[in-house]
Amino acid sequence: MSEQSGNGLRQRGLAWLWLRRFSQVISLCFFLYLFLRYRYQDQNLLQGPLHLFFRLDPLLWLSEIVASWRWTWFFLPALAVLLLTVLLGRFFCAWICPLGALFDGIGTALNARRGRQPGNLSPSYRLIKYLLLLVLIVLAIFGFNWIGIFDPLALFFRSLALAIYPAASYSGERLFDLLFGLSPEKWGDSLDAIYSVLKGPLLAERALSYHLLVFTGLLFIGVLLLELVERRFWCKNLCPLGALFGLFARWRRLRRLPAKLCGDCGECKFLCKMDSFATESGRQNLRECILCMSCQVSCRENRVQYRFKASQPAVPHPDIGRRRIVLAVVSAAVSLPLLKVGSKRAQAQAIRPAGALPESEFLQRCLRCGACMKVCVTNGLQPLLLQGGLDALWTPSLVPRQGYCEFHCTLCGQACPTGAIRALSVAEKQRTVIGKAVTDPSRCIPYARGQNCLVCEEHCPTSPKAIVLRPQKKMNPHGKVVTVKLPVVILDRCIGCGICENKCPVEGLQAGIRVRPLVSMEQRLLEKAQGAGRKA
Amino acid sequence: MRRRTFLKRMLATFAMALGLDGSLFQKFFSEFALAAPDLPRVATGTNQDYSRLLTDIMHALGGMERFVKPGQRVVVKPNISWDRRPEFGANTNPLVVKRLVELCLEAGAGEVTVMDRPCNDPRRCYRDSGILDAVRSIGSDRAKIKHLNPRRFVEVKLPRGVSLKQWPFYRDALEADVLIVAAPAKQHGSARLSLSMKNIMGLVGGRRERLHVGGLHQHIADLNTGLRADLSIIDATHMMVANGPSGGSLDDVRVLNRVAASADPVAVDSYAATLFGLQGEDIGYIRYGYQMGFGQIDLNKINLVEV
Ligand code: SF4
Repeated sequence: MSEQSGNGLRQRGLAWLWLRRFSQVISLCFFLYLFLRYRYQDQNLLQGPLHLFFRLDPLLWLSEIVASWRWTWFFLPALAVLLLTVLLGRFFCAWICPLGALFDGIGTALNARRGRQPGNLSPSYRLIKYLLLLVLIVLAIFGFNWIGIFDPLALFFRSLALAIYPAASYSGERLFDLLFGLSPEKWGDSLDAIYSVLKGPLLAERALSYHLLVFTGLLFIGVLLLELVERRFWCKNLCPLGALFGLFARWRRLRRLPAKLCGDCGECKFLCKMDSFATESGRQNLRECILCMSCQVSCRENRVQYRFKASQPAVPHPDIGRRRIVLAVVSAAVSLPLLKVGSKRAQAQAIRPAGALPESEFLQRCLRCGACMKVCVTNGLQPLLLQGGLDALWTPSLVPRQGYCEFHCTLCGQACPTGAIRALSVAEKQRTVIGKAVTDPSRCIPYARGQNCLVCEEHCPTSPKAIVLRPQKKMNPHGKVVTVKLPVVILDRCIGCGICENKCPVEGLQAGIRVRPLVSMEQRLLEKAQGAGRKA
Repeated sequence: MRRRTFLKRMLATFAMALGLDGSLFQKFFSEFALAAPDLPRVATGTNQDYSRLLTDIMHALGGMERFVKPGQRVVVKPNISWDRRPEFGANTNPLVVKRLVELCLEAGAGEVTVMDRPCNDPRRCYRDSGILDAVRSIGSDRAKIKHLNPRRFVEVKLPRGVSLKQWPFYRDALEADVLIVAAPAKQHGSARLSLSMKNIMGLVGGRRERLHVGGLHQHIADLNTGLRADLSIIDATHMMVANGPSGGSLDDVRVLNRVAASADPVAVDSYAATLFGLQGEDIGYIRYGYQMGFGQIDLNKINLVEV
């Protein structure tokens, strides 16, 4: 082999490496761009290939299948990814996965700062991700779907939506505060111009805050910091999507040559971010290699290349072991009742967005990706922590004090990648009852203080209004008897949008009027009767 | 000129602070600001062609040139409170706004900015009211439509206010050479009617909901001491007679195709009340406005022309 052709391999490897990095960066940027597109885009219609990344994700497809037992073309791209995985192996992880790109970027930066690369943990840790995948699937089959909580794309999106973006947008706003404050007279107008351009596309329309901001943010940072323990810690040991790819990669056709570490060098063992070479045999584990191309680029002897091979005996993988599998399945099944504790409470606590499927189905199909909360124009959709049990963690619920459901808006249904929230037409949405407003006479100003107020009536969007005014004699704080107008909710008109609670001038967390979720059976029956009455 | 207007207003405020009585204030505005006694105080009319209608009305009032001088900065404040389409009459009709802006531009305005502080999501209100597109369709770079920037509110002392002594107002509206309020005529649960004086609430900051408690009418009148429209337009093209101020059903709307205008907000509101079968006296803030000297409430003393 001449020097020239040997160098050629490395050179080609280098080209592939840069192509890969390019693809990673583009993918990450596109992911972020699409993330930012989950907003009111000057019309009540979300445009663009918003769900692209979700649709590429076979794990989410699996989740959808297990949750609904239905075939859908929506996840066709995921099928393509799976087929490619059979051919190429876990290419997704190094070429497409935006979270993987972030790991590579942040890991490199962090470890460079620290001045040393982390070592490798024992390969047996990697079994965790397979067991996790298994447990998640078993639980999902039994009606407890936490796949979205661990799926890397859903996790990334959720962390962006609930923590990173609000924090970044807040910092941006404070920066403008500072700049405006410097010299409002001189710079005010030009700053205003810059500001109005950034506002919307980049900076959030309103100051966002989310209930689980700190929790979600810390978890995400924690996952990123795992790069300090081991490169691609998450991808090697935890990622259930990586595990799924690993399962399919065992048949991969694109193989590395030589298939083993070379006896005279063995550098690749330390180079490989995925630690994909077995310690004893030195063979490469096809399920772990993510085609990052580093070994081909770095091989001093110019020996490494990737080639399509018709077939080859499957490469042994550290076996999960039948016992472990059985144990995992059984313990998942056994823990199920425990995990479901309190899930009935969700119904009593949560005001689900209009178009949400019936509660149990909703919980099954919701990915906890946070897309609905990102797109919500009023910031009213908030994640649940444990109010609804573990089952409902991170699922959306309207918190009217924070933001109401905008009457003409149907964006959350469009933003939901799985249809856990159905995309309703505006007319349908306006008929959908998500809760019922109830006045609190101990706090509502006209009731409690004998003063007129009526902000809730003013804002009520239904026609005829669901809040009407009843004049009544009341004693005011000065002991005078006056006639005040009391707001009264006409229950069968109220759709529970919560604008009354949101705009109520009563200070504090508890307004003078509050929206209650539709809990009891009676209420549901009432609804039905009213629906029938309206039709008649 | 901008500064001069500002100083003028400051001076007026100081004069009041010095304890001069309301009659002087009234004189100040009604005689000084409404100079030209031979011209009608309120002009109104009906026409399906809103563009024509506004042209005629402004002509009757002495032309837009009377209000807008070349190079001046104008703020037009329509009502863009609700995420509702034009036919529901919850916001000012976009064609009315458009013609108004055009008239200002024709009078030589240096810059005309349209703005409001909505109750629903601002972007949706601007879009669905049709006003965003209407202003953009003028295609002039002197015609702008802007969202309010929360940093541009300034605290304003209201020495003449009876129950409000200070409140944040939007800087651009305070500093404008000419302020034009274009208010849709609407029924309103707590204010009874939402007319031009009520519309000043769209240019104030803070928690506006609090204004509803403890005397909304007085609060509205007080806010009008901080900011006075040079020209007040009542848009009764689609008058909302029920379920106001947000409406939402065509049954709530009477199509009158009527517009009224005046330099005197009390007079035009008082006139608009009659469209609902009420009198200016029936509406608290109009009455207070009159008592505080902002203008004339008595329709018999108002020179009203129908164009
Ligand atoms: S292992 Fe998971 S997180 Fe890592 S790159 Fe692959 S899919 Fe992304």
